[in-house]
Order: sequence, then structure tokens, then C-alpha cells
Amino acid sequence: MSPKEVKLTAEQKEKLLRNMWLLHDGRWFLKSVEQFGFDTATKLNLAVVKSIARTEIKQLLAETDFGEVRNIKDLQALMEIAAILYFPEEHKYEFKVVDNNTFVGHVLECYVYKMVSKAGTTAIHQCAAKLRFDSWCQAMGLEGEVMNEKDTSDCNGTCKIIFKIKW
Amino acid sequence: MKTLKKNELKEILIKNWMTHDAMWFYHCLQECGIEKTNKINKAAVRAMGIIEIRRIQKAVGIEKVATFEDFKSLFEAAWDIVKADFMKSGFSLPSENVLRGDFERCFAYEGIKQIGAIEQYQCGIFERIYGWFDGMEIKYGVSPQVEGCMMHTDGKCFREITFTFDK
Repeated sequence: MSPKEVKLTAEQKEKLLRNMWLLHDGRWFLKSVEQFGFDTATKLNLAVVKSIARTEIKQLLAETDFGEVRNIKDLQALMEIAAILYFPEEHKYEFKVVDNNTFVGHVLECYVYKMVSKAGTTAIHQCAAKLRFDSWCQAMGLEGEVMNEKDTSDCNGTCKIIFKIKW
Repeated sequence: MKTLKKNELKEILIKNWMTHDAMWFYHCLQECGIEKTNKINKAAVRAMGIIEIRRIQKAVGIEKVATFEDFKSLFEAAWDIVKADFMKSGFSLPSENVLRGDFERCFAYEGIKQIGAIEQYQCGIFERIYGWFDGMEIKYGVSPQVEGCMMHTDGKCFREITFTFDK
């Protein structure tokens, strides 16, 4: 008897991969909390985010032959591709170019906040978004600043991340 | 800019996922040494594997893994989702109720060797697969029993897994 034929679409496979990646990351965090407590696990998580963020953008730049990010339009284009690739479906956001040096990512519903809320740890969780986008900018070779005034404890799942870039 | 094909997208997602995992391993190693890192790595990947296979099982619509045929269908579907080209490994079904995994090369071995922790590294790759079997709720035995990294000690790596089904 041959195995029962099971078929998944490319979109279903992609969704599963993304979810499992997040799940694996979450399990590392939880097991670290069990071993060392929340503070050390948070410190580890922030260090990991900083490292992986550089890699994820460099890989995307290389795989798409994107070339240099030279102006705000390039940044917007790259952010749009990166967001589709690296944020899960349930993460809701809007991007806006304010002027030639300012790009804003407005998070409407944050996937990290949702997971942290479920775990009941919003009061002590440290948001890694600024760190991640700082690393993205460094990987793109950009000079400037990423600002996010909120943390998990006071964001309620929404925030504005402002990129001020010097060209 | 080049548009990514489906297989290229899959490669990026899996590569980044595995790099993210490696970053956790690396930062954990720096923070707390190899013994605890092995423990956390194995616990995280096994816990992830259990949930991972259940999600795939649900997606492909296999209600229960009651026979070797059910197992084959689910295993092949899962392997098709998570296997990337850079993983030089393969699984075969040499006889009834037996699965064999052979690794020509192992990205985990190569990565851990690079960071100088291979002597004490305990394999996390098969731990994920064992998590799948746990998630499928099937009985199995593994040969050979390996504590560390077989690729490091023997220059090759394989496992033979024998299943017992009630039907």
C-alpha cells in the first residue's frame, strides 16, 4: 500500500514555516526563563535579536540583488519586502514616508505583544523592535537613528517606529 | 531587483530560522556554558518538534498516526516542508516500520565546530525528529544511541528508527 497522498499549497507550507520559526524562538526563550529566570532570558533574547536581524537583512539584500539603499524610496521598498517576509500575517502595520529623511512604521497590532500578553508578562517584557531595526539599518549600511518611545509595558500592542536617516 | 521564486523564499526562511537557532545557541553558550546550553537547546527543539508535527498533521488532515502508512504520509509531508537544499541529509524507508536518516554533511556540526563547542555538543537535530515522533504519539526505538555528535566522532552520521504500531 502506498502512503496516503497529502498535498499542501506553497502558501500553506510558507505559513507553517514562519509559524514554526516563531514557535522555536519562543521555546528557546521559555526554556531559558526556566533555567535562568526572566532577566537573563531577556538579555539573551535581545542579544539574539540583534545578531539575527543583521543576518536577515543581509540575506534578503543578497538574494534579491537589491543593491545599495540610497534614498527613502529604496528604504521603503526594502522595508515592504522585509516585512512581508519576516513578519507573520497577524502583525498589522502601515508604512509611511514623512520626508526624505524620515520613515515611519506604524504598528497597529503587534504579534510579539499578542504572544507576550498570552504569557501574562507584558509588565516585564522588553521590546526588541528598536534593536532589530537598528541592526537592519546597520546591515543596510545606513547612518541614522531608530526611535520607539514605547515598551511592551505601555504600548498596548501598537506603536510608531521612526527611522531618521542621514543620506 | 530580483523577484524571489518560491523555492528561494523557502531557502531564505529556513536559513534564517536555523541561523536564529544558532544565535540562541551561541549567546546561551557565552552566558552559561555548554552543559546548560545543551540542555536548553534540546528541550527547546523537542518541545518545538512536538507542536510542529501536530500542526503539520492537522494541515494535511491525518487524524491519527495508527499505521506505518500514516506515518510515511505525515513524515514525507513534514520533511518536504522543513528540508532545505543546504541540509545535505536524507531519510529512507529500508523496510517495514523502519526509518533511516543519513547525513552526508550536517550544518549543526559545522556551525558548532566553528564556535569551538563540538567536543561537548549534544545533537539537537535528531531531537527535533524525536519530538515529531512524540507528537505523533507513536512507539519507537533508536539505533545507535548517541550521546554527543556522531559526525564529530565517526565522520558520518546516521540513525535507524524502528516503530511499533498496534495495527
